[in-house]
Amino acid sequence: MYISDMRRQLDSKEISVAELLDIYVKRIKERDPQIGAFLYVNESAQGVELAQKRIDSGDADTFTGIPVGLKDNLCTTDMPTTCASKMLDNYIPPYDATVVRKLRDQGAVFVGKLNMDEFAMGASTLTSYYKTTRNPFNLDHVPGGSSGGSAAAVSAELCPVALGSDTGGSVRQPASFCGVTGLRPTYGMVSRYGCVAFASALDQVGPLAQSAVDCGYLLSAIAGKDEYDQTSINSPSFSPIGEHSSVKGKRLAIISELTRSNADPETLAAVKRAAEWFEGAGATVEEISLPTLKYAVPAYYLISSAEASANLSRFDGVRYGYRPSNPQSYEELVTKSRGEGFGWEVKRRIMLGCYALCSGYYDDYYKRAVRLAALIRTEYAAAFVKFDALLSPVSPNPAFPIGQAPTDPTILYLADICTVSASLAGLPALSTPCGYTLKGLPIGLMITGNHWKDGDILSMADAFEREFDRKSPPDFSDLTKQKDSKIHRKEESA
Amino acid sequence: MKYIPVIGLEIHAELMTETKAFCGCSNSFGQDKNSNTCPVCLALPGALPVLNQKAVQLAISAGLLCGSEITPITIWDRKNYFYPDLAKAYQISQLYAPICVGGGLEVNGRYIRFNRIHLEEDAGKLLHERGSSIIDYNRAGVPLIECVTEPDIRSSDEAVEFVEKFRRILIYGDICDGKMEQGSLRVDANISIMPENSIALGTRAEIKNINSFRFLKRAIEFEIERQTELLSNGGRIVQETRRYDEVSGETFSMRSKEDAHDYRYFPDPDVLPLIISAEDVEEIRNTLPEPPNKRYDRYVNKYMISGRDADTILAERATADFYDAVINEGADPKAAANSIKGELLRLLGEKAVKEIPVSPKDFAKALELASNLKISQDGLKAAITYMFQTGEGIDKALKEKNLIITENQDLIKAVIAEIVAEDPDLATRYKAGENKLFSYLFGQCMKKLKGKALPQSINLELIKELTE
Repeated sequence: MYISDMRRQLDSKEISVAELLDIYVKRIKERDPQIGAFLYVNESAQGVELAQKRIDSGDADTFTGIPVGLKDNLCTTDMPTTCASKMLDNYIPPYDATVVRKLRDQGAVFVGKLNMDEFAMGASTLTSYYKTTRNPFNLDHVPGGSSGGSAAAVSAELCPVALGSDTGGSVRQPASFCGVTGLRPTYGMVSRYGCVAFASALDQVGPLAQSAVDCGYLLSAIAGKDEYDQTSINSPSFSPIGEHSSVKGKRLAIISELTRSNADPETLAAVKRAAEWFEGAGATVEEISLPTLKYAVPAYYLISSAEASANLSRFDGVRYGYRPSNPQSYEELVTKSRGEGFGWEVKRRIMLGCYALCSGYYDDYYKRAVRLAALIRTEYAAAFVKFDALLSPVSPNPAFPIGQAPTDPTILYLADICTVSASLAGLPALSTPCGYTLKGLPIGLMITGNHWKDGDILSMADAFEREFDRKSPPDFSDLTKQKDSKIHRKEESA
Repeated sequence: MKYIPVIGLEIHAELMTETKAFCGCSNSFGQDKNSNTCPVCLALPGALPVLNQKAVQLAISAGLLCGSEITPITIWDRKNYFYPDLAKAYQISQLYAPICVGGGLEVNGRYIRFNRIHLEEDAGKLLHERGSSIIDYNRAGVPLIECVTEPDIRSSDEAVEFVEKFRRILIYGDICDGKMEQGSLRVDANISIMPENSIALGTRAEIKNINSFRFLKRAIEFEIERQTELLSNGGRIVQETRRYDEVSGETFSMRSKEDAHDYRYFPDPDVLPLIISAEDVEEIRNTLPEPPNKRYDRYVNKYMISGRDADTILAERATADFYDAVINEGADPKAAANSIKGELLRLLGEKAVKEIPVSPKDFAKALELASNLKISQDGLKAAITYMFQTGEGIDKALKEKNLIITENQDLIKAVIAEIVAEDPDLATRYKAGENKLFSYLFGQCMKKLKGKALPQSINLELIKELTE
């Protein structure tokens, strides 16, 4: 169900807040044992009665009574926040993340916490300490990551919308793998306070939903300057999507480095078809070359790992988190807490990050990476003088089978080529489904906009989505239609 | 061979802000353990720092008072190391672009340069109690400035004088309370020695966390002696960090250069670079109090009081402010200095209070009455004491203590005649040239006329009487 449908049904009392929550909790019970998206299901969610009261008194906000799923790196006072790590097993924060508080203030109902790669490090959700999450379109495949739980849950309609976080593509890539819409907002648009830090200069909380419109609603609810996050600012230009999105006259360009690569042919074909659709709808589509993109992956991994090495140092076993039994000294407490509490991928990034920051290597690695990021930003800035948005695949490949994840981390990291450059440049970028492989796996189209053009790229995606025949995951499509008389937006607007 | 000591200091001064450097927790000393804490200073997952603008202002103030340049774009860096009292396992500090650069202070005619003054956060405190360790994070995140001098200091006395002078400036600027015993001012000393006439600096040892002037002097002296002895015996100094032991008065090695941390500094992405405009700096400059060294010059050169008196008055800012206020009320600077260091400081010492309960206006009035001979010097003391103890004004003091001298010339004459008549022989001997008898007679008159006549009047009348 879309937010507008739920809003209408809740406000007209066709359905109560408790009944709506119940629909989703039931579905989670039925389907999540196969999918594994949730780490925590909030059956007795707080705020149900309060939300109902607000609706009854005509005081409903956009999200009053709407169920929302949360990636498990967003701090919640009423649910554990584990970052899918043994390190934070059962950890319940004493404060809400700003995005959580904002949604709570609107009366949103949190259905639960969603699986992810440990500390958001990964692109498959396979590095989770707790469980494997499966792609609803094919249970043998990964959902992507790191917000794999969020993408899978929205895809399988276990929650109507969810929040994820995107450092190098962690919202866009799983959205693409699971066939939903996901947005990485402009850096600074959304507060990071209470989103457990991976790489501070790159982390950004973003929405995943069934549509660009719903992503826009969720973004409106969480965006804005936060006095607890110095890097947040009020977007100078964001407004939710209007009724008639159009791409007429938009100047678009396909990023040639990302479409001439050795990417999957089905992916490239789908992106090309999407570009043709935009042309047919009145946009101009050219090609643009961004030569510095070839440095994006190494620059991203150096900067993000360097920042992570410091951000994750606070997990020392002293104040909270995993602690070995009976440590004999402070050194033993710290080394065992971290040695036993962190998984391999996290340790690998910490090692890489420490190395890049060591005296003697700082100039060669960290500093050079920061300079490359500046170069990439400059190149994008030049591109946005000529174009309104850039098109590319979200990932060179569709979701890969769970057993066949590459073991060489550099091959895994290189698959982030499409997403990390927008992160380094702090740009808004989204993923929207633009096709399906012969095997039925979704393919995502990435639209990258200029700073603060989040609303623009959501509108473009909305225009595309109105025409695109989006598929639901095969295992559940029948079930969904019967049970909730789901109204498709296309029918509604017809 | 004769060696010259070369000393550089790192002075850590906690700033007198209401709240901590990067969160809203209270910056107050002596609270219950871990009561001044929040997600930010406990480094809970997801918490983010927000820079305290007041701390920035105080750091700039310190720089301006020492003649430093203020950096137009200052940045914050993470200094990474694991220690139980460092919650984030990194300290937010400034390596690459400190907020203040250069400046310095003159000590006995030598100019000691500052290399930099930068802003950073303090760590918590590790307490060892009954076999277990307790971490108190109340101090974690308290803003402090680290003030690094160039190696310009040449003796332990000079080091002590430099710190004393700088401490006084910080206190006057309301920047740091200077309480070394509470750890709000701590000093690290870098010490090396080099042969006389040499230009190459020797290898240095750093002595950490010295928290009193006495220890600073002793630690430096011990270290100079240790290094001199070592070199004289053909030994070699190793670069290391040493600890001063307060009981033995000796320094001990903590760790050598080889064990030194690699702090892996890098710019903190959570705290954005701060742009400080020339207007911002001017605005802060306009709020600065006159620093104590400038006041000293004014007192000595303009008010012509002794350097010793100036130092006494400047020891506490409250006293110096009171002194200036009294002078602003038109009092004579010398008389004011005398009464303040004599009467007022004695009273303050007795009551151990910081605030002076006398209004500068009343104080100036009392001084004026004394200089116009409306009250005696004893009367002035009585008036000050009365005002100090009761908090009442000068009018009430004069009335209650009956201090105004209302002279009656007939009475003075009568008393003098009486004294002279009591022992006529004395007058005769005085007239014959026995001058010293005058003071005896004068004393007798004073005794009888106490509070009813000015000494000057008695003096005059007595001379008249005796020379007739």
